[in-house]
Amino acid sequence: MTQPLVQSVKENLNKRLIFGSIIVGFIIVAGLTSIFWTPYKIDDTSGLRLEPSSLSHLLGTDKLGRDLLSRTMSGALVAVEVGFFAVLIGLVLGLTIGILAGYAQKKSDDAISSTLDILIAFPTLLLAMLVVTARGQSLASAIISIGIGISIIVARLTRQLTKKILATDFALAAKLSGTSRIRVVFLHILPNIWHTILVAVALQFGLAGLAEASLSYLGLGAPPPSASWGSLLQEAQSTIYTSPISAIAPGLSLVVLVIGVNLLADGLRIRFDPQSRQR
Amino acid sequence: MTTDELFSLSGVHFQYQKSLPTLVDINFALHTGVNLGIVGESGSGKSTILKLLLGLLTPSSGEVRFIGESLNAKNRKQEKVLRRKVQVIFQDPYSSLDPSQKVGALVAEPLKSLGLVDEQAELSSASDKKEWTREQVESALNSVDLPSDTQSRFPHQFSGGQRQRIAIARAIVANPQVLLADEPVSSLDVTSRELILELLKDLQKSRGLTIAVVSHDLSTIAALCQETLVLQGGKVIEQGSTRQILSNPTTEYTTSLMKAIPRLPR
Amino acid sequence: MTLLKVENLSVYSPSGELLVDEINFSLDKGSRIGLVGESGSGKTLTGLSILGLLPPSLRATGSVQIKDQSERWIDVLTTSESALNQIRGSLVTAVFQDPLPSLDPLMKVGRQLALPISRHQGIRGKEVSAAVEEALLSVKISQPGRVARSFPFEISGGERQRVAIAMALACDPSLLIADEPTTSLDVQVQAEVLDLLDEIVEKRNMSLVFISHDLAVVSKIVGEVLVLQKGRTVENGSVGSLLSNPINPYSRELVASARRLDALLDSSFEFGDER
Repeated sequence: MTQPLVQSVKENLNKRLIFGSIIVGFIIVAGLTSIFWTPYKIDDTSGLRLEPSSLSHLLGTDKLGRDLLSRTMSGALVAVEVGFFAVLIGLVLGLTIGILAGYAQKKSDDAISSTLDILIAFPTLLLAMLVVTARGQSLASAIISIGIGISIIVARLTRQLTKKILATDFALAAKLSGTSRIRVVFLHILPNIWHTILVAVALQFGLAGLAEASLSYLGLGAPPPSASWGSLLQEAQSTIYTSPISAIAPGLSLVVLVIGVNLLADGLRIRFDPQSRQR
Repeated sequence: MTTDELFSLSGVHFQYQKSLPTLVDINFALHTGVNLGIVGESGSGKSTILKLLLGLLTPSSGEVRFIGESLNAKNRKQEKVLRRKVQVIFQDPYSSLDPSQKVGALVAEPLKSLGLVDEQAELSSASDKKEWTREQVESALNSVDLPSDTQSRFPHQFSGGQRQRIAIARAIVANPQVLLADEPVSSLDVTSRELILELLKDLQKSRGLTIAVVSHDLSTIAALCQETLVLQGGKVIEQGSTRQILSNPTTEYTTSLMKAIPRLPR
Repeated sequence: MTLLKVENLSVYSPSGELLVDEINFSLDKGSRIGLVGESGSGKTLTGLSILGLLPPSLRATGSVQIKDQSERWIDVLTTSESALNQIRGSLVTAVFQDPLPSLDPLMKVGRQLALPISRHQGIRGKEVSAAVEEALLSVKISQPGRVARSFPFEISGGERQRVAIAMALACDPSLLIADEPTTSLDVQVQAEVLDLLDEIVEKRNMSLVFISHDLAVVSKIVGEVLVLQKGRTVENGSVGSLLSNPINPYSRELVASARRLDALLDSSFEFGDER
């Protein structure tokens, strides 16, 4: 016997995952393609200035006559790069700190978790400014500061999940059969928490792109000539009435990215939801 | 029957910080071949005794001895011996098996973690070790009456009674001397309850195990243990042979405990 | 006078598996029935069906009819959620194995009890606290003042189950579904709570559906039982005849197991006795 309601719900869930993956996948492919090919070079100023959309320039040109489609594609690469490397830093740092904090007892646990609480209240922008001041403006500075921001979120989540796993009978059973802490981490903690972490970092992947755009908009992100969606928006600010498409293209890309990762993360969350999984 | 002392507690007091004492002046010994039942209701301190035996807690005063040696949390060598010789079965087989691991890996874990695989001198290659581990796991699963293909499945594919069998296989795979059982059948159905009790009795004989059972259920204790001690509010109020305590309880508390058990009409 | 009619009740899992298979029974006002079975027997799902509390992913067919105060039959399976909310508490109610989830962890016990009591009896202020105290006394809580001022986590397991019973009875229901209400309690507390349930159901002339895996407990409180196995009724009749002369092979095994565990407690039992 089938249940129409349940089935339609299930299909919806899969749809979120599918649409999310398609959107995010499209942005990743567009970004990666820009490494080998863009319609024009991103700093090619041969076009007419502020040209509207046409066959030769699908998204028109900016005020220096550069092709906006090429620049938007290149912006996708920046977003993907930032997302990937920031998440990587966030995962490595966050998982390490989180698991250590999960194992820590009383005083040291209090110290770590209150430090994390203070850090999470610390705005990424401010952190980015500090990093930029220390290292100079570069894409790497943006990635490092965003990565640190993500690591704090991952660390807090990991700490909480680790404590939960360590409180189970099966973690105690492992300890009582002589399993070392390192082995417990790889045998029992990580396999039981990775889906929750994955959902969190999937969302952070998109938010990292958004954070980089904010930094670039403020001039703290990737320096010119690299084209980030944030710097595209900043450049388009003065010409927004004469050539709205130069703002719409990067702006819409950001919106699509955020919607895409939200769908993806939601789809993953429901996919891994213990209630919909078989026990 | 030998009466080697496995565990002994003398004058053990235990108190969590600033709260009322959990255990007061506990004295008893666990001898080889003599199963011991520890009966008590919630808050009686029976789980604390179990944690003391496992070295998870240190007594506030008094001494816990394991094979003649005082248990010391900082003695790593002693801990290794303790983990090898003493294994545990938990009450809830749903939470005591890691849901992300296959049964084969779960049962093999003590062999690997306790260093038994690496000790087998004749096993030189990695594939030999793997094969040896697989055989040990299979024989442990067979001795709890589970088929060999159990190894490649996940715990959620089994019923409560079968899961408790897996937990028992895991506990005996490294050939311990002592099995500590914390309410081993309380969360099971009546029919599987009986089968698990039978299984534990068989294993005790075939593997020379000594079992200590902590339970609020007197019938579990009666099924498994020759000796019983009754705990109330952290004190041992009665101690002796199980049969004697069941047939002729000397304290009012034990009598009322016996009376409270719902019995089947004749 | 019949109060509850369960006819051809079946419950299907989302994948179409039969979890409860054509269960039939009826219950008169003031009478009791036990549903006995092991895990997976469908006894809990049957109880939830009567309460209209099946998880939405499960589908039920057949009918579960309860007679309301104005002698009308209400089919729980087809009645809307809002209409069911009206009858839950005042007509049918439940006590579960674990009372903690049914109590609000952040509200003191006294206030939790006050809500349904004041609504049901239409009283306010001082009268309510008196009624709360009375409700706590009626479930044999010896210090109603202390318990009323406590949060659920601050009281003992036995007290918590008594509070859950008081909550269930606050609106004078005529039918109580008790699903393993004493399984997680210590033996002495279990005996007290069983006595309490027995007394209350008797005094208020309530009907009782008692769900348990434990034949000894069931035999203490009900006379008639349904033995369930894998969602199917395999035997029904009086507890006495089930225990003395079980007909179905499964119930025979169930009774034999229970008998053997029970015999362990007999003073004539010697350690090492086989079966």
